[in-house]
Amino acid sequence: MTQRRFKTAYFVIPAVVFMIAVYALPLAGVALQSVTDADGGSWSLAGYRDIFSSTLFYKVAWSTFTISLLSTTVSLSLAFPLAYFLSKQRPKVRAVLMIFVLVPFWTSVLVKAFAFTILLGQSGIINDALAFFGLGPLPLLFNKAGVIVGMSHFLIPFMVFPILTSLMAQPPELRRAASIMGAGRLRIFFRITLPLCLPGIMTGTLLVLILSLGFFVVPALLGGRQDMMLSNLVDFYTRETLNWQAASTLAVILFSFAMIVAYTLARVPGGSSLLGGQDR
Amino acid sequence: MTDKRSADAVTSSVSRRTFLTGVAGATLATPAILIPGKAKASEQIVIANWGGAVAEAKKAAYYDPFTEETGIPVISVAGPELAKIKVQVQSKDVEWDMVDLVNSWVTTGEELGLFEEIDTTIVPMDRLVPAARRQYEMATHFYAGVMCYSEDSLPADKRPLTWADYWNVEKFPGRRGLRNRIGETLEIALLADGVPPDQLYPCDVERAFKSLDKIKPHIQQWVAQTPQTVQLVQAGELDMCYTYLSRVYGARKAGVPLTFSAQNHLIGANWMATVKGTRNKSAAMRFTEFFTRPDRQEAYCNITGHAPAATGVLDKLNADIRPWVPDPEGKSNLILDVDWWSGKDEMLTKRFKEWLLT
Repeated sequence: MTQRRFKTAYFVIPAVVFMIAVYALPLAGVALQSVTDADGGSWSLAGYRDIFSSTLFYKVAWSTFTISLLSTTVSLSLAFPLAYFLSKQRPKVRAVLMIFVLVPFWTSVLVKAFAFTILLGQSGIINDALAFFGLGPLPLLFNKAGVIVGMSHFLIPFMVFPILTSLMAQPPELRRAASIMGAGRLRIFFRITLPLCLPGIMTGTLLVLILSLGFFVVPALLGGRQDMMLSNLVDFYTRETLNWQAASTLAVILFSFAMIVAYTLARVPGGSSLLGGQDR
Repeated sequence: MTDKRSADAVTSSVSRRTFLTGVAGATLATPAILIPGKAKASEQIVIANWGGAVAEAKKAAYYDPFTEETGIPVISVAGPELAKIKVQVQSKDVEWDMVDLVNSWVTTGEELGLFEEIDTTIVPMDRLVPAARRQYEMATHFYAGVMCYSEDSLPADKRPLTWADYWNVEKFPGRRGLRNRIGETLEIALLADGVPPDQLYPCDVERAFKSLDKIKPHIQQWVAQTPQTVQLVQAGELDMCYTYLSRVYGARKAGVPLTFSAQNHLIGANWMATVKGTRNKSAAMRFTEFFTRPDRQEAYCNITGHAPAATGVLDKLNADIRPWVPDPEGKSNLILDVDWWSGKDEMLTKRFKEWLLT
């Protein structure tokens, strides 16, 4: 048994080598750069000291956190019903509907941002429609609302797929059996469908949350002056001032933050599948 | 790309130009060790520029005529970035021989030693206006930052003309936009507070932030990307915004009813430099000289409407483009000073971003 397990280890060697070369090594380089001074010579914690003593960092970190959490919540609440609906369709219909789920991937961010301006703006389609009924105008652009709409639009597919996979993996016999035993539809949903779907929800949530921590173009284009993300600062230090120590420091902090999020999610019910554990 | 170029040179009828492009392609594909050191045939210039209409104009006015005259092919690649230049210089593997630069990169690049000094025995810098001459870079042309508005939404008497007007929200009501970066915004704030352009440098930073405090509640959007500056006015989300003259020109040509104020322009230079350690330094210097020629400058500015960097060219430009060309000599106009910004960019950006968040 152990021998067979050991033998299959050879199959992962290409993937391991690849990941070490293109992921682990550069990441180690970034971590190293965050603790060495600008000339790459001596050790220095100045990068961390500067960042932790700057109010800018705390403010931006807070807005990064709230924006990520909000857009994840919105994505989840829109994606779950969508995935549930898709899971109930015949395979052919589902294949067609999936194309619509993937549409957001096919347009560039800048083009989408312009489209959202036309849709959400003060003289945009939504506010024009509201004005027709004597309502509005609602402030939908250049604030958090704009950011959340723009980000969720991109993130929903990442939420739909893991949830859909997990819903489709559920044996229909379970629900049939529960129904025979006299459970109502609501009870079946809350006692069987939803708990069995938790690993999918957790995977989707983690994926979306970590992706949104790294967003910066959408908040810059659709947000207001306060919707600044940590990635904006990384970008600024990397490309404008070439202060790569500060950029690396921020990247390490963001990475650690994402790791903490992943670990925390793995502790909640249904989440242990994220770390390879068995769900009970 | 490379393979296709070399293949073209072999299969199609071989003119001198296509042949040289083919050679250039082959050179790119050859490992460095096989390239003979001094062979003239391997000379070429890879220049990183901003792409788009400006790159097209440069190709027509400079790149193609240069190849015609010298036989040295010019290959343009899109998207210069200071970070990438730094990596190329540090790793001694220079892929871009020359680069186009924005204002804020000039002094940072000089401090890091990323550029070759301009060889003044080859390049007659006195053909250029003084503001275009530096030890390591030359300005190829000047652009203008202006305020723009839609002719449809603002009648002529409701359009602010100076930055002081722009700050006057009672007299000139409307939704306003500024950029979400401190460069240029700092200067605008000082002009708005009544500092005369010729006394603006060295900038009074405290006064600038006090002036920004006054306009902050009235700014609808701190615009992130340059295309947005005209797009938001066009879409009716802003009534007025800071943008660039060339953007207004582009919008007008596309039939969008945008207009701009003829006063209080911020005149900035577009720079070009040779990357430190390039194998094609002598070709790069000849290319730099080519850019100083008045007839080439005239051809370029007639296409784009930018202001020429060479002296005596401004008055020769076509009459129809003339209203769109910024005037560095204009009394109310400010010439942006890259040296004042040297070493202050990071500190002021931090302060500005913090200010935006509060």
